[in-house]
Amino acid sequence: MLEVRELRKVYGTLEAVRGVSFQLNPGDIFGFIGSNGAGKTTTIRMLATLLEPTGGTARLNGVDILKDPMQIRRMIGYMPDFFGLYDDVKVWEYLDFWATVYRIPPKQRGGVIDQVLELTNLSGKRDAFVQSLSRGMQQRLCLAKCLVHDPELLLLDEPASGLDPRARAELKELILELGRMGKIVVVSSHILPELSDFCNMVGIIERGDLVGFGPVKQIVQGLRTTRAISVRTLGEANDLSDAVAKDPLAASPRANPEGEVVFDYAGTHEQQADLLARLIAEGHRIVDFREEHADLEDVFLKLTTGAVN
Amino acid sequence: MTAWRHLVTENPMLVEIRRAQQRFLGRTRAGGQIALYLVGAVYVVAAGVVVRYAQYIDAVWLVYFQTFLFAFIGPSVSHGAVSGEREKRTWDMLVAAPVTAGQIVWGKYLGGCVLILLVAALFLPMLGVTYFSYEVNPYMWGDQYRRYTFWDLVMMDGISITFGFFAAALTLLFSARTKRAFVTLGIALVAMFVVLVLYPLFLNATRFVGAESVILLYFHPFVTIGVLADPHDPGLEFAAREWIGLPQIAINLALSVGAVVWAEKTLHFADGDVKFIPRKPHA
Repeated sequence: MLEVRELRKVYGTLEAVRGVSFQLNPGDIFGFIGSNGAGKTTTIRMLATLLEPTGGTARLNGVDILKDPMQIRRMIGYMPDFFGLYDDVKVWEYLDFWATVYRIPPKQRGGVIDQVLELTNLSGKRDAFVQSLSRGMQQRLCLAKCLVHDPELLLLDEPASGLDPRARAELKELILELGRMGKIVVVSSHILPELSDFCNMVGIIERGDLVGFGPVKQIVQGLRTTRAISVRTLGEANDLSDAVAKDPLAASPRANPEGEVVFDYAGTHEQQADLLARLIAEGHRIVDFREEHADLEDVFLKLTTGAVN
Repeated sequence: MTAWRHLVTENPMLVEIRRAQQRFLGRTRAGGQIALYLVGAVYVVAAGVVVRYAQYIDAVWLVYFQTFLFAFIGPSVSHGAVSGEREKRTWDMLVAAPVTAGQIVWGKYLGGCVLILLVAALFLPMLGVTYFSYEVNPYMWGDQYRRYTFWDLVMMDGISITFGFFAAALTLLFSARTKRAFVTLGIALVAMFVVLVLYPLFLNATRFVGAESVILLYFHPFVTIGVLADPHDPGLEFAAREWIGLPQIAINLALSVGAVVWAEKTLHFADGDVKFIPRKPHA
């Protein structure tokens, strides 16, 4: 279990991270969302024991990052946002190097390397030079390096940046698999729709403050007290907008150039059905009446202002 | 002994020795492989020439040449040790691994030292052959000639090798303090040039041969090797001949350890943004 408590980082007069707290369980895939400069990387670097927190702490399975950083390092796999690889060696040599650094016994190294290569779908590139790999493959190789010592926590800072759609899809599958293996995975990203696809937990950070944290569904639903409804008519959209406005539960209906009327609705689903029935009864030729589902991007835009430190 | 175990016998970063082999001696890029074959060919030809004309070649000139090479090889093997990792953005992953700063630095340093020893090992057969085959020219020296002993040659070689270690350690220190590998290499080569060439030239030009200068020259590898090579030389003004050899080796090793420890203490250069030369605060 990862427990982060009141984690703070101050650089001079700048408070980069302001008392961030959250808790994750084995198997959780945590999407860490925030604008550039919001404090994601600083938080991740503190968890990776690369930066000393100004205040607060974090514990991984009871081990404190401040009191026993060396033990923490044995339990984490860290992939920085901009990473490099030793490009003058072969893939297996690269992994063998890291397996040695993580003190994997020599007799086990070969087996471990084969396992992580298989998991990351790089078995066919075992004897290829690192420099000959594509960007997506290098990303997977870096992830393979993070897995050689079977860590309990994976810290992946912007792992999907610079990848093409196929490489992203492969990475997503890999992260899902790691979650199924019971590892805690912390993923920071700007690509919000992708995060909502595979994260079960999400945290939104702005100017060092964690402004939202929880299960993805809960955080998305919990944010909206109203539902956004979109109605399309064959007739005049402005007439339809006037008709919707008569319902006291419908807020600020507006007709868009595509002939749709969009509004927020605070009523129940029964009241929503009644509204549709009334509009049809009034002669509006409705061809589409649907509830717009909020997504992570809506939540992010609503919770944040775009301000950075 | 705990430090020895921590930094040497149980240091996982000694894998750097294997990595150095893979980088410098392995079959990495085609260009590297060709360069390796070329070096091998040059060595075979040079060794052949030395063996063929061994009776005309004084071993001390090979020691001089080896020392000259170490002034370049030392910086070459360790210029990218830390700054290269920073430049390639591999540093963070290394620091996030369960190894201490000391283990990282010593692993990288010892990896470089192995290559220096390898070069020294290539010179050994040639040194042996020339030492035992060299014939003194009687027309030049007459009966007065006394030759340096085999022990002197061992000391000369020791000074040369430990100077290589020192060059690598000094470069490692620069590497820990810079962010670009080529900048490190440039600084290290300039430092070698200043110490080995400019400083003696300066002393010679100014004809200033005070006590400090003599003591410093006594640490100059070429000067000390020269004193050892000439049994007629009573030694420098402030250093009796008997005190030339092991003390210089010890000093080179001590300076190397000092540079590596200093490098270890300043590893957080990039993170803490500690400048090598502190920047003056803005007015």
